[in-house]
Amino acid sequence: MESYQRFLNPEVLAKLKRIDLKARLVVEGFLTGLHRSPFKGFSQEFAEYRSYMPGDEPKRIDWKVYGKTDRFFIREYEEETNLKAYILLDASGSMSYSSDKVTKLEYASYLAASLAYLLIKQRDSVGVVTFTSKLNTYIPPRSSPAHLPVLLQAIDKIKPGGDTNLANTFHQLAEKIKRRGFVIIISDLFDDKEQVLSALRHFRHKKHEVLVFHILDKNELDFSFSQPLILHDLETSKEITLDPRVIRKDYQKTVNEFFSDFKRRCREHLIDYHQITTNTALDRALFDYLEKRARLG
Amino acid sequence: MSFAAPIFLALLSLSLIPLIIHLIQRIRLKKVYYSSLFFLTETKRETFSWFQLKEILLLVFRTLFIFLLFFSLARPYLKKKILLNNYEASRIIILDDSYSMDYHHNFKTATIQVKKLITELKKGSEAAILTFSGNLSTNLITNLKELESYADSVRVSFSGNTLEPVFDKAINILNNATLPRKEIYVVTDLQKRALSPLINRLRMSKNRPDITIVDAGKKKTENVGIKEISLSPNFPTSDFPAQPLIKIKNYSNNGETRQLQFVITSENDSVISNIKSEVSLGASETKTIPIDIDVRKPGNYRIEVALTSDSLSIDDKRFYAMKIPEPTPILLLFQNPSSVRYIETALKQSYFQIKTMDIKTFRQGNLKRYKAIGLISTGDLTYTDWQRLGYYLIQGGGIFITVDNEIKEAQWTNALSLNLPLAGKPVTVKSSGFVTVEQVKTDNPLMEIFKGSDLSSAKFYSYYELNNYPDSLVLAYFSTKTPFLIKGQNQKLVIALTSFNIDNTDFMFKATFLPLFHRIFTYLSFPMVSQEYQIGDTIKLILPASTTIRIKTPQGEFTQVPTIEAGRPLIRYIDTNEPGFYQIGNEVIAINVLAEEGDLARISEKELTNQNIKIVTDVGGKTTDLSRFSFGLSVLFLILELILLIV
Repeated sequence: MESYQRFLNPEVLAKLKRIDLKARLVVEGFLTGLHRSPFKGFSQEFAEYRSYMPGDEPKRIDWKVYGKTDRFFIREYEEETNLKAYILLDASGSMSYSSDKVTKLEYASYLAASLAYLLIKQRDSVGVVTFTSKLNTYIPPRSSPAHLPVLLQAIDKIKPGGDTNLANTFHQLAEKIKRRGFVIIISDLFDDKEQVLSALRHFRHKKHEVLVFHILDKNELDFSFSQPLILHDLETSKEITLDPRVIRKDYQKTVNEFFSDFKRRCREHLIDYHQITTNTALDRALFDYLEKRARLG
Repeated sequence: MSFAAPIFLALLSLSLIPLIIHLIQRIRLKKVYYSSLFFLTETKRETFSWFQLKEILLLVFRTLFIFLLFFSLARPYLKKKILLNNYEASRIIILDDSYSMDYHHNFKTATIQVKKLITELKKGSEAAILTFSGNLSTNLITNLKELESYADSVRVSFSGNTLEPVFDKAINILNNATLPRKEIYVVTDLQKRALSPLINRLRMSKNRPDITIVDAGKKKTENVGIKEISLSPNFPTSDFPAQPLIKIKNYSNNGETRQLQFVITSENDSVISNIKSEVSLGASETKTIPIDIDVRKPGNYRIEVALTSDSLSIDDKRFYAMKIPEPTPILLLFQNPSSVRYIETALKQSYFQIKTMDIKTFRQGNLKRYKAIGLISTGDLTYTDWQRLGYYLIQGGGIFITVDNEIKEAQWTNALSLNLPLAGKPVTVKSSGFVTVEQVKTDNPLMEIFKGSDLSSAKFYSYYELNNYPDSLVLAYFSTKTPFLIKGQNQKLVIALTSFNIDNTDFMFKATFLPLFHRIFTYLSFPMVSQEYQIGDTIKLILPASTTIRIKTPQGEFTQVPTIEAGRPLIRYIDTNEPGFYQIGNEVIAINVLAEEGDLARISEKELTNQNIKIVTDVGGKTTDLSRFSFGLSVLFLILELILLIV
């Protein structure tokens, strides 16, 4: 693994303190790997010519200029952007759960910061919204590089807690964002499925592109507790005593049905849905983003 | 249910450990912070699952495993209770104190059972204790405390007595019992040789009291013992030194190896020979070990043989008193000198000091100084002569009679005070041809040396017949089935019913002639001391003088004044309750235990129950050992637990 790429591992990132550093390392690591990926670049406007330097790709040589001047020139492009991206980060109590080293919120933060860093680097406008049962922070989108520290600071400051009311929050935001934009939702989606889907449809109704990163801990999928225990709900503080071995199969069945249905319904409404567990390398999520971004043009 | 090791019962509480751990786990459940109970509230809860069943089964198996393990360590046994104390009875308790009861802790177990039999009697009952050896014998008494103290005082004896005599005694006592209910309890190791004679007799009897046998023995036994010490030849002399033969018997069903130690000491306690060797015996094998020694000097010798001790040590030691006699004065009485010639010549070859005498001189001479008298011609002896010889016989002298002509005195047997049931005088039979000697009883110690020898080569042209001779006393027969040699009963007397004259027989020129006469006169001239005394036997010894005599025994030293019987001083010593050497005056006698008592083979329980004899292993009931069963069960539960865990 190349040095940057190791920062794609959430556990490695958790050891770093500064969020800007985390975001930069993730994106640099991601981009290093990207050279071998099918994603080569984005929609760009010509900016200027510059002399060919060893290491530049020969295909970028402007052969017409070579014909005229007998010298190698490379065409430099300036990114064209009018995309306004909104990163919606769930900070509800349930996001503070971790069965291992990285909580869901930490993972979501790294992902949000990395996306913000990548978007700013592409000269896209990025804003960040954090929410629990209500909107906590709203930073409107800007494309200036100076806007990045503001975003990262906002992400870094998030403290988990409180209940979730995803549907309300999403409806609120759908109404608030006037111009067509790119909505990236990072959440565990622990709420009423129908209401959440209704809210997501609201975004689509407003012509927004929606990308959902469903962040889950591995244990939330397989429920791998071995002994009888008392489970304490991080959001509602309710408690329940159970023997995990007794209900594991039923739990897994319920969860799988829930997510399959959610995914299918999202696809029906052209909403990109990606389920990610906190032990997944961050580049997986970034690839999903790039795929979506490429489709947006 | 009872427990042989109840101390382990305290550990049974440890079987609660799995249950306690299970409950603690239930009570002190781990609290886990979880993202949301969103899905759990929607999950269908099952009331029963395989995991719950598995957990319950594991808990049960673990608990049972620990419980049964400690339960088996406590050695549980089931006792079928027989109420002994709800009725009045006349109870005879016969305790087997024969030395086989010394095996392991059999006797201790037996005395405990005897005490239980006493203490569990209802007030107003009467009881008596008798032992096989006769060392303890009480009448029926109602003071049970006193009886209990008697039971405490009994020790294992050295006797090998059987049940039969003491059982007869018990029946006699019960005949005088006042209470209607009569019962006999025999506390024994169920030794076959001790019980079999009685069982055979009980088959015939109809009216007998209730008999219960309390089994205090071990079902599996092993023992090796010394069965016999003998000499070859039986009567060693300076000319014919003896070779001791040690017979060892393995009563076990397995092969056994033992160390054998042979020690022979002289009169002044100096060790002449100390030989050690290893003896290996197969299952139930009897082996005779010859010991090579060369002892010729006249005197008394003590032979002590010991085996390395086993669980029954009493029969691992045996004693033998060996005597090599001084030159022995013998008187040969004749009517005419030619008749004594051949016998005199034969005996002169050995250590005998021969004195020949005619009948006239005999009437004036003193017979006391001769160890044996040979009556070579008997025809002219008068009634008085026979009386005198009879007196000599009673006093311990040995007499050899050859009937070489018809005995004139018709009452000679009466005058001789014979213990032999002979009637009338011998009748001469002139054979038409000749007769030979046949059917020699070589199992008799006197004739033992003729095993494999041929006495039939000698021809006899005339012989004599006697009436009423018991076959057991005939040492050899003629070919006409009439006796050739007769031995006296408890008297040192040998009668040859023929003459040894050249005109009657050619026996004098045969190889067997000299050994036969040497043998007869050795036997007759030896003191009348049995080679094999056993515990409880009475030692009877004729002494040369009536002065107080010193007696050395394993229990200590005593003095005893001889009684005068038939004009000669006699010692009767009855206190032979311990094996070892007993020295009475100059004579050394060995007392040994009955070797057969070392055979611990048990009588089959079926044989007893067929005779309506109850058998119990513990007074109060029959026990069934449950420890093996419970241990097996605990292992089963451990295996089940492991299978469950693997599954």
